[in-house]
Amino acid sequence: MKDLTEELLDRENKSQADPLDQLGMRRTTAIEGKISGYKTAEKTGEYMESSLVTTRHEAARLEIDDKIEEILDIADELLENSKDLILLDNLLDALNSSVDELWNLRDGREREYAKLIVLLKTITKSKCIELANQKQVTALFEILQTFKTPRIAEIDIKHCVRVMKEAGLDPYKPLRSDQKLKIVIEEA
Amino acid sequence: MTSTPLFLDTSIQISRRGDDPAEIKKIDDVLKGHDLLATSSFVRLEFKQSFIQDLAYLHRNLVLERSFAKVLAGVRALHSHPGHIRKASMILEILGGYFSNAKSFHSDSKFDSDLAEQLGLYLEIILEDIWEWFNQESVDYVSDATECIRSRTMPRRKTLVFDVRVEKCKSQKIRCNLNKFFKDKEAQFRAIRDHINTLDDARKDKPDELKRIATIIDLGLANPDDLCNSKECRGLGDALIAVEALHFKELFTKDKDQAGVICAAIALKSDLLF
Repeated sequence: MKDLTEELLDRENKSQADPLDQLGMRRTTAIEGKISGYKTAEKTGEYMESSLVTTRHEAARLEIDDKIEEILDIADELLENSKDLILLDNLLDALNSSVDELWNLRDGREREYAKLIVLLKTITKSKCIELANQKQVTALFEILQTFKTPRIAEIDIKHCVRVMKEAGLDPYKPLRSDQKLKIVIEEA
Repeated sequence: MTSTPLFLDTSIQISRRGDDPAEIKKIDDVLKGHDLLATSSFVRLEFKQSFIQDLAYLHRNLVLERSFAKVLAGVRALHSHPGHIRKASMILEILGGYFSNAKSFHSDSKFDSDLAEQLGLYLEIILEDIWEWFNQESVDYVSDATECIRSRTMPRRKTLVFDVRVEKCKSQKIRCNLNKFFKDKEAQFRAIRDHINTLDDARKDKPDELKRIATIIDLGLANPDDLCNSKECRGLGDALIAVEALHFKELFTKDKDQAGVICAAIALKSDLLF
């Protein structure tokens, strides 16, 4: 079974195949000038490469969009089930995993997207949120909604920090952790 | 609730951001008993010179090295100022523990570079927020009796890293009010110096820092303008904070010498956090 990238690449190659090339004919330079977007035979390799990159980006984008959709579903569930603490705890766990997956897909997005994920981790990582606190759950929902923004900017991050603080969620918590871990760095 | 305000010194402001939850709870319990929290521009200067500089140092190294393990090894290897470096490595270890949930890993792994990237982004968020926290959220009032010009520059983002340098001041070009403040409060500074001089050198109850404060006060008594430079101003530190705190009646500190010697000399009530 083909994966998403291969499938998209196949579709793109089919749609961009030159009908003249398929008939074994060569275009003249004059014709080339008139047809926009045409790539000469010499440049085919380069074209294929750029097309592959575009497709990979599209695939990554789609994967991110799917993951964000999943996260927004979790956000909805968090609000809908705000009184069921066990369910909320399970949802938070699922959210934590999804946030980690979003992190792994960060190459397809702007830097502030990664920053938002890190900010989110300050809430989800060690379950800093009080699930019985409706204000905090609502704040988490609002922060998760930021992922809908097509291009996350610094101002969005600042807004999320403010939302956190207003709900009593402390972005400085990781600096004040009581996890006394002694990290031993192993030699490679 | 008492109606007295409370003046927070640098050690308390740093602990509020970077200490463990048990310590924070002790601080919060004291703060709850006061209805007006204050600090000063000079405390902000010290906060920047120590805590913010540490964060910026870690941020810069994480961004440039792209390896948590390398940065941690580098911080541990520094020995120029044991107390200071221990603080930076402690912050890094706490952050590493929080974001990784791991106790050990290979230094050349993707996990290591990912962790460095996450911590770099996290410290960026903090460095962009901490100035606002200090000025607008941590206290109700920031006193500026010395009109310290050096305390006014916030951390600035310079492409990848933060510029957190503190500019230098020179007595030849006075830009603050420290000389006038010293003159106004000469009696208090004199009392601090006299009290320090009564301490016994041999019993080690007069650490170098206190000796230095006494020397700088002597310098100021001869000519207050000589205090208006980076070196003397910094050396005067605890005495300057205590005298400015007098206006607020009570000082909250973690520094034993500050509470036991300097505050005692000028009858400033102090809350010492153990």
